Amino acid sequence: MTAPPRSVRAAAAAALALAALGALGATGAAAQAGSGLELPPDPLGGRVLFAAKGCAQCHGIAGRGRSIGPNLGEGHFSGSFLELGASLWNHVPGMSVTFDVAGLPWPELEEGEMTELLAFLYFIEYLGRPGVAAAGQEVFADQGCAFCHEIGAGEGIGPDLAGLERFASPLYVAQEIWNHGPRMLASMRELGMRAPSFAEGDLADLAAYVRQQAEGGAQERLLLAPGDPNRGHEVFAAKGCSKCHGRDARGGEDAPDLSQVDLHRSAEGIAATMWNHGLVMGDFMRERGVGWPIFEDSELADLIAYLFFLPFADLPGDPARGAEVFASRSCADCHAAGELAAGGAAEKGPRLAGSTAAASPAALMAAMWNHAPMMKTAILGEALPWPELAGADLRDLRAFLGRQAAAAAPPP
Amino acid sequence: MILPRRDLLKMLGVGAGAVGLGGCRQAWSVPDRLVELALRGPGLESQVQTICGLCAGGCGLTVRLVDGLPVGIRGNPHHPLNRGGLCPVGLAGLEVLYAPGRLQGPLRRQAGGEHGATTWEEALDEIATRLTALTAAGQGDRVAFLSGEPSELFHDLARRFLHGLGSANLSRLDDAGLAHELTQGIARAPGYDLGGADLVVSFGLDLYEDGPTPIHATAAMIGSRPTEQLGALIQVGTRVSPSASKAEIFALVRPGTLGAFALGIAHTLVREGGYDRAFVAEHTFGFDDWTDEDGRERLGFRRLLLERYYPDRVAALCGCDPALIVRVARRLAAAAAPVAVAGGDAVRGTNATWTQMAVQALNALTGAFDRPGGVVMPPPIPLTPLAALPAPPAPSLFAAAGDETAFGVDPVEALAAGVLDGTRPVELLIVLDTNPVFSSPAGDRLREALARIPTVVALASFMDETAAAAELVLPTPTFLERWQGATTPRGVAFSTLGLAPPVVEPLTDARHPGDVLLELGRRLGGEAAAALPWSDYPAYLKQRIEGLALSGQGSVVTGSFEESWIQFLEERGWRFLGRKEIESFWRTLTQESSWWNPVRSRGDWGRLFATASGRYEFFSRRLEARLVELGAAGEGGASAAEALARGSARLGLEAEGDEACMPHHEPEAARGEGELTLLPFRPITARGSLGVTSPMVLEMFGYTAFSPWQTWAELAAETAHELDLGDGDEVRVESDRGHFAAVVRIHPAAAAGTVHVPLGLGHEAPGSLAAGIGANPVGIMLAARDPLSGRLSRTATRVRLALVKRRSRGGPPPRHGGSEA
Repeated sequence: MTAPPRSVRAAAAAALALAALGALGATGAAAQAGSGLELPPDPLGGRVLFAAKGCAQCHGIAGRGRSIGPNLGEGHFSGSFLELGASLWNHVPGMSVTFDVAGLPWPELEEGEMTELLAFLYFIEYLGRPGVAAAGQEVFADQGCAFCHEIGAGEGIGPDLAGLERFASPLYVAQEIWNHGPRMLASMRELGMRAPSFAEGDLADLAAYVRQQAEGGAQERLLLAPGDPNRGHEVFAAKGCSKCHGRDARGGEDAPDLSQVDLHRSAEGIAATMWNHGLVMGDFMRERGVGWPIFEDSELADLIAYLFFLPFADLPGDPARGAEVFASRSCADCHAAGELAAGGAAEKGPRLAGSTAAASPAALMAAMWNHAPMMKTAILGEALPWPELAGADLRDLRAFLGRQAAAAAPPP
Repeated sequence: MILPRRDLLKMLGVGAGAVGLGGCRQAWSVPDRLVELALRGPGLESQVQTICGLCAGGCGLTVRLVDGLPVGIRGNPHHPLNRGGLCPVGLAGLEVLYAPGRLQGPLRRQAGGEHGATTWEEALDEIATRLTALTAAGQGDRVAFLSGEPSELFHDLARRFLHGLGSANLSRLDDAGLAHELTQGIARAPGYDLGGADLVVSFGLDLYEDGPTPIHATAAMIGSRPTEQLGALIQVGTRVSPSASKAEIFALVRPGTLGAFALGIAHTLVREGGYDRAFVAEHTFGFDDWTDEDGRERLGFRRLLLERYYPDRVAALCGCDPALIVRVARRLAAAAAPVAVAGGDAVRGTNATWTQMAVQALNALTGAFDRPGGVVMPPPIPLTPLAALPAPPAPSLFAAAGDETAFGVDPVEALAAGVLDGTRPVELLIVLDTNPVFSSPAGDRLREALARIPTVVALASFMDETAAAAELVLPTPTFLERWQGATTPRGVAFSTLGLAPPVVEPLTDARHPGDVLLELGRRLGGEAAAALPWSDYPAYLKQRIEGLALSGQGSVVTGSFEESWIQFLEERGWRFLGRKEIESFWRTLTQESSWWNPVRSRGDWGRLFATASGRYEFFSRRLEARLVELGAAGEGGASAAEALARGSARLGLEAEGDEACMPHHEPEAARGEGELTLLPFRPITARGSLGVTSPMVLEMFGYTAFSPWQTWAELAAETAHELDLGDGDEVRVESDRGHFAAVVRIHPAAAAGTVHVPLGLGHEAPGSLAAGIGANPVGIMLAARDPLSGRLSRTATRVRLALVKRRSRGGPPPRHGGSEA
């Protein structure tokens, strides 16, 4: 058989991948490499800051906790790092009223804390929802699982799924299904069966159903730690994903840039997407000499956490547009962006030329956040509108300030 | 915050050995160096989280310090057990720390019988020499350990210490969970989700004052709920306690009939169909009549209830109105999440095991197992397991059941009997933080036995009655001065681990009991040293915590936000990221002092019901097997039915055959002559063993009964009338064993024919501030045992009251509307 030309294969692969991954729209995000974002190894670590900095005084998460401010984690708070940062910035006036009434001090955030907090808020979507056993029963029937598998009644064509009952996390179940994939798909092909395809939430429901059906109840209940995106990056390379998708998932000759795909969804949803993707990619992978990856321990969770965080990083901004933002949002009223002060600006705020405030997105957000109380006094005190920003504004602003800083730096 | 120095000095009592109001004993004793610090220090304030170690309740504390000196204690509002609440004893914790009566250094009995000062070196050398001699002679099983320390962590260490010597003789003097073993097949009592229950039916348990965790009960049912969602309480008991006075319904019954009352409720539930049929069908055994493996028809619990426990009969037993039983049953059936609990008199009698089985049967009938607001198994604490040691050659002297009991023995009685009759000689006994000479009905026998044991080592903070009988008395730090590792208290529905470093360095020459055992292990060398490889107690704790750190389960207690997160994650199959190393976890845990895990695995029936049937057993097959075994001993050829009947008779049971294997009313076996039953109760001021070292607690003792600084005897008005006694009269309470003095108090609602006397006073040893004040009712109790558990009863003694002196004109007026004869 003659292989199709490389360009055709690449286009086909890209189309297949995008279709299979359910590309619901590009996010415009870039891969983390070069974005200046250092992801925390434990994305849940930010919950401690969420409580300690007083966020929990007003906000609940996923329907729990306080409801003074909007409840987070139900799709209301999503986007790239700077898009989330923009939301944070724009809620300064409302939040400050509540804090003032309560007599609470302004919760300052260091650069690392800013990343940790926003990564945590971004991560809530990843945790998904509890499985529903009744819905899992439908998945079990609709996807033809019952044709081959028993639960607690011994081995059929396929293994008895009662062995999965100790796995409380759907990702464990997803990992078992994935590893079992080639053998299962071959058997199904022989039997003339359609390969199962999972929708968002199906795996959680399926896991709940298996657990409930297994006789006697589990003596052991294995919970899974949410993945580590940094370790997931290593898994991405080790399992051969980077052979097609590029080292940082930015796409290769034959495969698309995964950061362009909407992966801000639950972990089991991404796992389902991977499975569906594997169905159509299996043959192509074989052609490329990429074996079916087998995952162990928390490898699948780590990989999914890595994929999940791909859209979190921001694209580089436009410095020219950033200059417009600087001017239009009243920054220039207080700060001099270059060597020369404009008007009396230098007297009100520090000169930004040579500043490292925009060295990273987190540094920019931390600097802006920590000077919000002064801004509030200056702006709201004069009944001026709060200078709201969009994520794109922040990207461009950072690019502009970065250029100004570079220009002010002494020649090497 | 900087405190004015004057205020600080006020708090400290100004000066060493300070405060002493005219004629009163010295109340606080603050070392000179700390007084100097208080006088000259900068007055800097700080706060640390720790755990209260004054009883087994494990409440979280926040200690306020000025210049590193503890000056205040309050409840930790984030702690899941007490939610900021604290009992009077906990609040008086500083008085325990600064108590002038504390042991200042090691003591050794001198030739004249008095204790004199010695050093730790000499004391440890002496103990190690004797242990070495015993192990060399193959007599390691002649070492025994009585521990009042409730922590599983410490228990594991003590067990390894003994196993390294070849001894299994370790006993913790807490209540046995035999009823749960017989019906659920589990050795540890389950948890009760009081925070989720809309109705708690308490049999004998003074929920807000007594039991393992009264402050947790208060927080769970009242303190942490909105007013409209407070948990309702129905109290069944022999006396209106402070908790009972808050109950929606109080059912006053005769002593020894709490189990019968529970069975009357069960009868009504079954007869009226108010029970959970699905739960009973799926998860219980022995409800309906059944056929055994030999084809014999056996009696089911349903028929037993319907035939024998109808309200009229039960009411006659209990001395109450039959309508009350029906009313309680209907209220229980109507509740959405009810749970029944037992404690106090229900677990102290000769019929305690059956009473607890009857109460637990109500939970089975209402399907309360594995349901929010019901009976649950708290998740295990994933501590690092320890390598197993070879089992000692001889079984524990505390474990073997005698001829008179089915499953166990009373540990104090067994120890005393083994020594006195020579069947289980003990050469070296260690007693830690417990005072059985004072608290056990077998205390006199124990004192006699202690005199015959060559080496008795008491590890204690104060000179109590048991320490006074010891050869060596080694001071232990009080809870604020020691590393604490407290595990889930009994009966709590979630898991907790309290782990806290000392708040202050020991004010006396005291050593942590864990460090004492480790040091002895090192001196002994060989297997004893190999069993205890840790450099010190914190190193041991740290290794055990590693498993917890790596597991990622539960959470360090930092506030309610964290609580909701654990549940959020575990519902989805997630857990927090396990640590790769434990340093950061250790740091956080010791700083916050507590870890907990509120998330239970639903449907984990294997942990709830580990019986042979895998179900809750109304008909206990294990009990049946043991009764048959007892009945068949020496009776070759007896049928199983005959053996069962003989086994029951051998234990002196009234019930015969199948009824003996199920919850039933077994009358209390009263002992001695007298018109009244002596019933002790434990006021909250008598919690733990150190409360009476606090002047504040002593001042509060008896405050609510208008009987401060003395022991009182509560009588029902009709009983007092029959005895020609009035409120305030001084009487002598006499049993066939001894007597004590008390003041009569007419109680608004106490069972006729009973006299209730508070526990906690009547100390003789000089370490207690209460020495010489009041009386100890345990001292006149007669020996009577629960024939199943072997535990000595506290409610079986009959007593007489003799008038000593009529209330004088200037005495306290009658209270509670009681009448004078």
